Amino acid sequence: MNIALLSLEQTPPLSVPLRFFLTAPLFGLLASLLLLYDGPHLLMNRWYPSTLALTHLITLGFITMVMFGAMLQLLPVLAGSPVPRPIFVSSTLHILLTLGTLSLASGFITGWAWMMVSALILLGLSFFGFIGIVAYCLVNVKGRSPTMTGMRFALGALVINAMLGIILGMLFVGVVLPLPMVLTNLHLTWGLIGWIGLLIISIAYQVVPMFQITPQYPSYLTPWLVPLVFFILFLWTPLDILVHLNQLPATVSQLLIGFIGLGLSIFALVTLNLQAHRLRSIPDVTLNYWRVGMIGLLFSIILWGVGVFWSDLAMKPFYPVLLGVIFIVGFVLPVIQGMLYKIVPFLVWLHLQNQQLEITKVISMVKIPNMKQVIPDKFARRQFWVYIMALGLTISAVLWPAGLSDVAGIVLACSFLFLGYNLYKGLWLYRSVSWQIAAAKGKKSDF
Amino acid sequence: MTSKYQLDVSQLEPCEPLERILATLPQLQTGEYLHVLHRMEPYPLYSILEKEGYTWLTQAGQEVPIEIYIWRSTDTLAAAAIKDRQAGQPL
Repeated sequence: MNIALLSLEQTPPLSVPLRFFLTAPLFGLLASLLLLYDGPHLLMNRWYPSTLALTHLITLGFITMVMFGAMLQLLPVLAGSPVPRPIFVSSTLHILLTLGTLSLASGFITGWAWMMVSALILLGLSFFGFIGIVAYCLVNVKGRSPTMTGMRFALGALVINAMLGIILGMLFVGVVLPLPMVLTNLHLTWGLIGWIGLLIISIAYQVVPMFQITPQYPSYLTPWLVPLVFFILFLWTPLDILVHLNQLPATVSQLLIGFIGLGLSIFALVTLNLQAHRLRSIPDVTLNYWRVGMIGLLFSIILWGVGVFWSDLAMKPFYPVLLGVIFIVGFVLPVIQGMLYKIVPFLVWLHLQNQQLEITKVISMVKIPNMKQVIPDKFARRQFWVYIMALGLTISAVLWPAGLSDVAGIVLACSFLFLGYNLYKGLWLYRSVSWQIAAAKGKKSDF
Repeated sequence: MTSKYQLDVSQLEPCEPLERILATLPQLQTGEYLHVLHRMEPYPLYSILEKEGYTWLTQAGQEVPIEIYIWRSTDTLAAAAIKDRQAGQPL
């Protein structure tokens, strides 16, 4: 008899992941409004305070927010390692991350040191609280699946990234730091590739075959890709510092980043290939999100490569902004939205199923909506096209900020609003069916 | 005399496999079991089966990655049939 690692009992309460998933679109909306408010300046230079604020509203408020919820959900389910006191832990981390992100964005925009100090304290508590809890759970995991291994490395990258972020934050409270530009590049590389990129790859190993009915990721790829990218990043870090101190030629750093780009390209191409060989080819909007994301990842790697060989382009102020926009808005956001459209309906369905089983031995007492009814495909598909317009406009706005940043901000705001509406719609359906089940329970107890 | 239901859910999206399995189980009569063809282990199913009073056997499949046999925990005939199957005897 196979002993299950995953069970309904180990699934944390629905509020644990949902509080993160439902807050994320609000931060996306806030970031869009900032783009609308301060657009042209914001897209011209990566060092502009509003640009830093917008970047962190997206990377912390949207991306990390979802990642926190996903990991707190997946750890007990995939690893059989429950998070202790899940509601207390998740609500504390959620409040700290929410307030910390708001303080950080406000600190960048206003330049108030006390705001930055409170952001550093709140985010520090949030990150190291999260890291401590997840590390505790991962220690208890017996399995060594590629997803669990990948999560460990992504968590390691988060430790490094959070430390770099806190050190950099001290710049804003009057502490003088050596090589602030180099530290910033290390921070964003460990954040975007280490924490976000490695976690997406690790979770993709699980969710792409499961939800998109594809073959499994090849076993020659999954055990080594994430650890290898992590170790190259680790090796690259001191060497990049030496490059900036003119102790090493720039090609050393570029070569290592090139290897990372190669690894990420292999992941993108393998994913696209798996999706082209789906076992059952039925229309699925989340597939579109993933395909856009993989193409966005490939584009960002190509654009980086072009910048290496065409230094005039790399020196333009818009180049790093464009690179960041394509990586974040063109790769990370669609993949996360694609995941949300599968994970949220699945969790709603799973929890309703569980509630129903608690009250009766008759399996189909209250009709439980299936996944496609929790968030109807047509709503997700409409939001997808709004997102595609927002992506095109945001990329175009980097090249023509004065003319397009306002429109890009409005359409991006619509995209996040629509996403939020779809996710909240799933929650409303959950509540409505949950009440029906509770009512049925009341009737049953009368007999 | 035992008989079985076979259900191939290997190409269905979550949560369809679980829904179809749960819809088929009430049809099992004494001595009958459900043979499920799946592409991955349906972990959430197991605790439901336990609650509903079913026993299961999961093993690597020949045509699909995973095969699961499910029968009522109180059904000794179906359990014996599964045991015979494990011993390589025809059902």
